[in-house]
Amino acid sequence: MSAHPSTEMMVKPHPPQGVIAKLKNREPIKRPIWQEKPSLAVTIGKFVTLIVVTGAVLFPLWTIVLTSLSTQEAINAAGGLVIIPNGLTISAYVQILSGGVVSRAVGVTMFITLAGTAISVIVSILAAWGLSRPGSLFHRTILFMIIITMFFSAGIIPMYLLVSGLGLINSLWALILPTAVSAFNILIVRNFFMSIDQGIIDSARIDGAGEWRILATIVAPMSKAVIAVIALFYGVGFFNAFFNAILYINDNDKWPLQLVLRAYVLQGQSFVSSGGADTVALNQAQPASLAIQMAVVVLAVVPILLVYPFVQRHFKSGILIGAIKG
Amino acid sequence: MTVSTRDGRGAATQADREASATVLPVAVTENERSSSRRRKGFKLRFKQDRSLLAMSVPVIVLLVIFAYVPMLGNVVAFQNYSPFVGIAESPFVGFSNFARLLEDPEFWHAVGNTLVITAFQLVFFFPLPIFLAILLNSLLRPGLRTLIQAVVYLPHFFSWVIIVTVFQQILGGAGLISQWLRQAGAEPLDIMTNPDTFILLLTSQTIWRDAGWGIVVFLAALSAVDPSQYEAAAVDGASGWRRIWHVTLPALRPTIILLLILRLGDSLSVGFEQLLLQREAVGAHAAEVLDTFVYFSGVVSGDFSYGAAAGLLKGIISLILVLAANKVAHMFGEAGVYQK
Amino acid sequence: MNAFQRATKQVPTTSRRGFIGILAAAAIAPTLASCSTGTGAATGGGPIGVPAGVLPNYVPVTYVEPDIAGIEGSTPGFLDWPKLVESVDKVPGVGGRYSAMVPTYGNVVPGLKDSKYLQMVNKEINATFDFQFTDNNAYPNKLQAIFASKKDVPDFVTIAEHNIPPRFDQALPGLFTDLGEYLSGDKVEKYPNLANIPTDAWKSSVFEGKLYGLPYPTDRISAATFYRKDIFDDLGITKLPTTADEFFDLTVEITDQNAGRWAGNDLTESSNLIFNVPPMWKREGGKLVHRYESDEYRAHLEFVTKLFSAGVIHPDAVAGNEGQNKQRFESGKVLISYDGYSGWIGSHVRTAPTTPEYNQQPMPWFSPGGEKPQVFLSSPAKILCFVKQQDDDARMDEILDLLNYFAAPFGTTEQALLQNGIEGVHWNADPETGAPVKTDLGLKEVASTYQWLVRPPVTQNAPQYPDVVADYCNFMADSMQYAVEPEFHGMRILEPVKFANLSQPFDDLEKDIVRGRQSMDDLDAAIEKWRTGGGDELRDFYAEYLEA
Repeated sequence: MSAHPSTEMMVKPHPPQGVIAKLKNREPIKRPIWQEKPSLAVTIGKFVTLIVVTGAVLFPLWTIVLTSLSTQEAINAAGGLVIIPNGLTISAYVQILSGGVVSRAVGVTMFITLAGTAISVIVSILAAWGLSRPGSLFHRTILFMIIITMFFSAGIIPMYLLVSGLGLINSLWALILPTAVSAFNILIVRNFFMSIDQGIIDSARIDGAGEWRILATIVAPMSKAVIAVIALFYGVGFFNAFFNAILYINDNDKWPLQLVLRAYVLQGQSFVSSGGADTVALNQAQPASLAIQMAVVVLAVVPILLVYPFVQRHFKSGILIGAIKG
Repeated sequence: MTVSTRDGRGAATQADREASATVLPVAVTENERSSSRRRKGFKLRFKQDRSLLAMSVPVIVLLVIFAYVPMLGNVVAFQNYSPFVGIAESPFVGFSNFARLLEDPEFWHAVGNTLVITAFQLVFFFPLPIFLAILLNSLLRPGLRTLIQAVVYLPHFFSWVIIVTVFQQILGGAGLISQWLRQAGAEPLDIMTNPDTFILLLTSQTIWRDAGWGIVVFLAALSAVDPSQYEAAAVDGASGWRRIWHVTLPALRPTIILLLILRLGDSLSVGFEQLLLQREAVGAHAAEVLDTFVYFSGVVSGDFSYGAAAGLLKGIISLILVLAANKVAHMFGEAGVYQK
Repeated sequence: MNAFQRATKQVPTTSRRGFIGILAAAAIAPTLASCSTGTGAATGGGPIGVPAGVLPNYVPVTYVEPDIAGIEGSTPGFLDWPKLVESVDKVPGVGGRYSAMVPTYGNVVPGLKDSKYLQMVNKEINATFDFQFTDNNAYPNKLQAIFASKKDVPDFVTIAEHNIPPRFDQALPGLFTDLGEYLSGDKVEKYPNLANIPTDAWKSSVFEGKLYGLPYPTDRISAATFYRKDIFDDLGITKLPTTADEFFDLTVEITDQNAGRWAGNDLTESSNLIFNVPPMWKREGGKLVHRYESDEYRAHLEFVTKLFSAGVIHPDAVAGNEGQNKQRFESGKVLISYDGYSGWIGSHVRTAPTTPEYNQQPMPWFSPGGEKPQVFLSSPAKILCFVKQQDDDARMDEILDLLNYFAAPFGTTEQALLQNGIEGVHWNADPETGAPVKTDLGLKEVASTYQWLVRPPVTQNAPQYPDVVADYCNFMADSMQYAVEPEFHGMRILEPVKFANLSQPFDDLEKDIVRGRQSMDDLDAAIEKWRTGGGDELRDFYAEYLEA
């Protein structure tokens, strides 16, 4: 067993600098000497699979983006989603973005996402470290209590009464606090923490460092990766949420972006209210409702597209260490 | 057998931890440590662990307020509850809501469908991201790899309405492929409205939406594998496939097990919205799952008690499944969702 | 008196223990102040119809003569932009502040803080209205939540009839104002614009014998089967069907799958109209027969099955995609579609820039074998608004004056203000027709708001589309000769919750049968199950209303 030095190295998760440096260096541009050239069949199979997979994602993506940029004529001719460009316009985006409601909603969403993610990440890290020592007082009880929340939820009415009782109706905090804790994310961070080399922490303890200091000065800096991972999970969660906003927010100047975008989708086919046509814009082309729906899809993904590459860098090494130890 | 497997590393880790523990004030192994702590007085333990406890306080407070307090509302599962009368004055009816649920043959049909779909997706969806992640990981060009990664996770952010529309547009009876087939004089496709093959459709939609998200997680785990391990394996004469088997998969195992256990816990939930949207297309018989059944038989009609009973039942089963799966994981020497 | 009020009163207390205690109390005891209702059955003491004297008197007023007069309540039409008349001679508000929960169907508009439209109209009426726009799909959820928390109920709550929550009868007495006190009989005559609302619409606002709602009157016929006349002409189809068989032959004739053209969207509802299937109940020899049990229903299902199996229904519609019904119809992928009557003009507005030849027409009514057709009247008020109980009478007086203002009919300055906003800010007059044309700001800010609270009788107007308005109003006027009131027309009957699950199996079965997944034999079994599973009880429940 364990005859090779390299496997010994795998046993201990490395201190952070080592890990990150390793990750940066380990992307082999050239084939490693020990790896033989794969057979032609394997190479072909590999690339065919990747082309199929990428195509399966890109093709629908293409039609969605294209439809969002298409004119009513193009959509009519295609009978739905557009596959071949045939008359392009940005009027769907203009209609959505000029509504005046969107810019405010972007601000609201940014606040919710940033504040929410910050709070969630901090409390999750604290709890994860607090529960990372099996055998500590109430360790199992608290852990069990957290896990239970994954499977039992409250109904809409009790939640509403609670939020109302706390005076949070129409407050953005109602969109942050009730969903601030995710048991799943705590479990991930906790797993990661438990895999950190005990030796470093123990020597810090001998030096008289308390748990808070160990967490702040040793554990947290070593765990940038997993923090990025749960920040992504929480961030995406806050960014996508709209249902609580429907319930708890009354003023539409506090609507988050997803709620505004959703309204554009729902409005879909009915630009004109019943019982009397709007006497407006009769001769100016309205963006096609399908184009608006697809523009909404695109707009909702853009921020994630922008943020993801930054997270992805940390993300890679994030689950890794948690995964090694388990 | 010299190629180090996950077990070998696991054992070494344990030994390593014990070694480092011996030089410490709490100079005992984990098991001993916890039992010795148990022997100590509560006061002492509290003093020792108070910072750890303090760290858990924010989460405990948030969960008590925003999860446990409203969870008490689930008491309506034992009532004939009306929100306008209130919990205090709604009559208690014991387990009759549960009985109504369990006695309904439609409920069991829905549970059956749910479990079949879960099982099917465990076999055909679950391994797919792992496979693709390994494939992607084998790409030597980091640029290409990053590019593909940056694309495949995107469908995760599309709502089911959009996904079903896109599928309909491509695979539907008036979709792209069907029209080509018609023009070529062939029969059009019947994928979107065929109840017999619905489970395939359902799974492919799930794959399209979430396989990419899954890939990212596994890729992350894979990037941890030390290349020298491959090297060592190669020195031992292991071929490419054997290296995957003996190095790559073991590195992924904890992640796989974590996700597997959580998916098992979620056995009774399969894509509510996805199924609701396609109910008409394939019929209730094929598309009825537990969540849609409860939705139609309780939620739509405002029968809160019935809905709460179904929720509680589901929660209990999920919890049992997770605990059982975790136990099994422990038996195989895995950490599982949480350690013993 | 109840736990909820106690709980909320204590919220500001500073003691932490008290605070946590309230959390628990709020969660466990969401009690409403509905002292009078029992706990079990949905309806308390047997059926209550519409007692005499509850309904407001009907005193029609005409400010501007319509170009096409309504016949037996059919929708009147205006072809030109009329000279506006003032209908309310005083400023209605006295500075009150009101919140109102309304659905969003139209554009997403800015809230009070950012909206010149709301600010200026508020100033005009001297009252501050703050609208809580609510996603229409999540309406039932939000209603559920706020109804359990009285302090969060806004002053006005607009509810579409399909969103009326279960056990609503229990919520009404504790939450909302019985408007009968202010509007029943001749009391309404103090508010001429409210007295101008037809009796049927008021009747639909009566719950449990009391006038709780403010109506949003709707077209007497709410839907029809439309066809693309322009494409029919191109195809040389001049003869419209007069029997079910002719209709079937037509659908086969116009379907050309290779060209990507199908006869129709899901034509189930069209067939429903052809076969005169009762909306819910019909009376046969003094006995109530449910829609599901009726011969008409059976014949209708057989016919729809025939349509589906003939391949004349667009595959997307077969797959249950209704969201793009209009898209398919407007782009000519289908030539026949069932649609809400009120969507007619909208389709013309949408298609005008790209398809000037677009011509959508309703199919003339016919019966399966060519007998005299029947057209069931639709619900007289599909949307209602409820007024939260107010503490003081002065406030109630202001509310009624404001409602009178909001109910000003087409052709009045008040209606024009609410509909279009301020001249020069939100709209400018079209130099030719004089009709308002919205400015960019108008497009951005003006949407249905105040008019969700109460509506004048429905009229049709679209100065740019006089032909469409004429077709619209003439067709409806002509349809009135076939009009039939369905059983329990316009009555608000709140079914006990135990019956709420009876119809779902039929919704599923219907879709299965027409798509060939189940047979008509399964229908018999389902009817039998329906009868024993609560259907007969439901019949008895309704039978009592026949007597009441």
